[in-house]
Amino acid sequence: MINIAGRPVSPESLSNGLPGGPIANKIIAIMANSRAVYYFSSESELEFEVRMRLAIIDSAKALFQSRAQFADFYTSRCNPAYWDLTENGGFRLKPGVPASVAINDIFVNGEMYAFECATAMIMILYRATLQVLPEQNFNRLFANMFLWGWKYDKDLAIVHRIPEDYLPGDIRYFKNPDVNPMTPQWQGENGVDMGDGTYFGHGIGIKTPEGIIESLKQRMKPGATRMPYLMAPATRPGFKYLYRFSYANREAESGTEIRVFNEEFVEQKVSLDEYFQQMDDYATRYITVRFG
Amino acid sequence: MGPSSSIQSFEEIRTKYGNEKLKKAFVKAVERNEKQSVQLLNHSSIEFATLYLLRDELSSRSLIRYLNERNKTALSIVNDILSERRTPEPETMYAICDEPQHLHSILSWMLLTGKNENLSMDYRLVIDRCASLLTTIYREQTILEDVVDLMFVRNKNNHSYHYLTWSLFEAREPSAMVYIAEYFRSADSEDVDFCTQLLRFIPEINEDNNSEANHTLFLRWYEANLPYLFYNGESLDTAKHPVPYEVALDAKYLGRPANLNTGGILGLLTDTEEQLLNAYYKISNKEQIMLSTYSFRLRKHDLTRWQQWIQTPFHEQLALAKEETHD
Repeated sequence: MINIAGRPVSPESLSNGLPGGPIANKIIAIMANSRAVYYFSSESELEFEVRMRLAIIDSAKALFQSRAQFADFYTSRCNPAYWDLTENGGFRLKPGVPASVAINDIFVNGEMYAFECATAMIMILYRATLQVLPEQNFNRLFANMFLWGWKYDKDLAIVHRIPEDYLPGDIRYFKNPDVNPMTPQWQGENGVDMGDGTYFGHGIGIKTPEGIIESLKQRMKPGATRMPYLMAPATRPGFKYLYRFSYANREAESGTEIRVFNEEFVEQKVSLDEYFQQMDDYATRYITVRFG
Repeated sequence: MGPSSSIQSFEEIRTKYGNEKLKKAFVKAVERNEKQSVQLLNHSSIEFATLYLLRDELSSRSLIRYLNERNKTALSIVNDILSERRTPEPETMYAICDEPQHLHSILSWMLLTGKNENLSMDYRLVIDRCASLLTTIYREQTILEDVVDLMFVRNKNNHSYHYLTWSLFEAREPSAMVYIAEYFRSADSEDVDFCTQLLRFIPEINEDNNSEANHTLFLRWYEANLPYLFYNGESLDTAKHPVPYEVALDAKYLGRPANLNTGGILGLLTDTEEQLLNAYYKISNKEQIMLSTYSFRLRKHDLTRWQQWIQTPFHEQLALAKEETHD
């Protein structure tokens, strides 16, 4: 069930502002037909999540087409114009380079890059985030970007758990329990649910679950008895958290004031635009921020 | 120069004067007497890092024939690990791994004598693969503490611990968590942070607690859940905060150990136990956790009372548990 601002909502009653197409419709239908309740503060928040899920799928396709290669952490490589390759195989954003430029470069100059499947998922999530946030906000949020597996994801507010429903744009994990220990980079494969019965896994491509399992079977140890399988949890970015920094949110919140309080609890009112322009300053110097 | 002093010299040169001096000293010794010099590497006190550093000299000068089986096999393992392509066909994959017992002791030697060195990325890869072969193929548990220590060293040096962590979890040995938890006692905040990251899946352990509190929480959780833990396959490949072990709540409720690999209850269940479980599976997850925790505590503090309680109808068990846990 979809609940917007405290009221149950049917898909038919939603405005035409929502993205169209079969995948978007599928996302809405799964939410609407679920026993779980999907709460949104406004229709624009629902729209944001749908758009971002579509952007995740689009980014997965873009990575597949980018010619970026699969590599373990020992042999990772990146474009030195935008990234510093660290000793642990991570990519650290070079000082002065906007995160948006560096992220887009991975998808444009893919042949200069090689990385593991978990890092690929973070890259996909960053590109999708860039597609739904104002570039200025993206660069402010992710100014200290560091790509290394799942480890550095703070500003994506990632959630990893068994969900009520699986939705297109979710990231799932195919475990390979009997992987050859000489190639632990194939211990499993993170895959983006493309919404059409296929998954994108970096290094494997876009395949059905059976196709991904078949690929992982090629990397099992001799005498293996346990077949690869799809694990139950799903990984998602914090849609609600990221929505706060989106265009849609700014429109939905237009006309509202933000009240910030300093350490002495002295109140100051600022406009939404002022807040976004000095977001970092408010975040460090003020202890409470309230949307009026 | 006698054999023992030469061995001492090779090891001493490497540790005191560095890798380049070792290579030069070795070349000099070989030029004097190649067979005798190479055979000095066969001594039991030679460490893996020394052999690794000299492998190019040994190979280019065709000196491998003088090495003993341990060293020859170790170099074959290194070459195999570092070879650029590993085809998936089993015929080629395990060409050097046909002698399990022999390999086991050599892999252990490579890991245990070589783990403290940090010669290069390739070297770390070799050490990582030794660890994964030992924990997954040989189920070697005596190295788990060493693997944990190595993970923390790597973390501190900003080197990859991704595959080591996987190797540790894949050992499917919950006691490995005890070695991790020891780092809650470290004076180094980086160690404590890393330890918290790895054990954050345990209820209430988090960054906001002090490390002593987290250590106590770990010990309590470990004591209460050890017989009921099962491995669920998560690693750092899956999530930032993986959940490698889960508690088989139904096993904990009945006081029966769980299968570490599947989470299934070990042994045959009586009809009464089957009936209890049927009812147990119908209550909410929150209630299951409460009931299993209550059952464990009662069993621990008053076995006789627990035996009476477990024989009462399920709804009475649940009511009493709720009442006594103020739920």
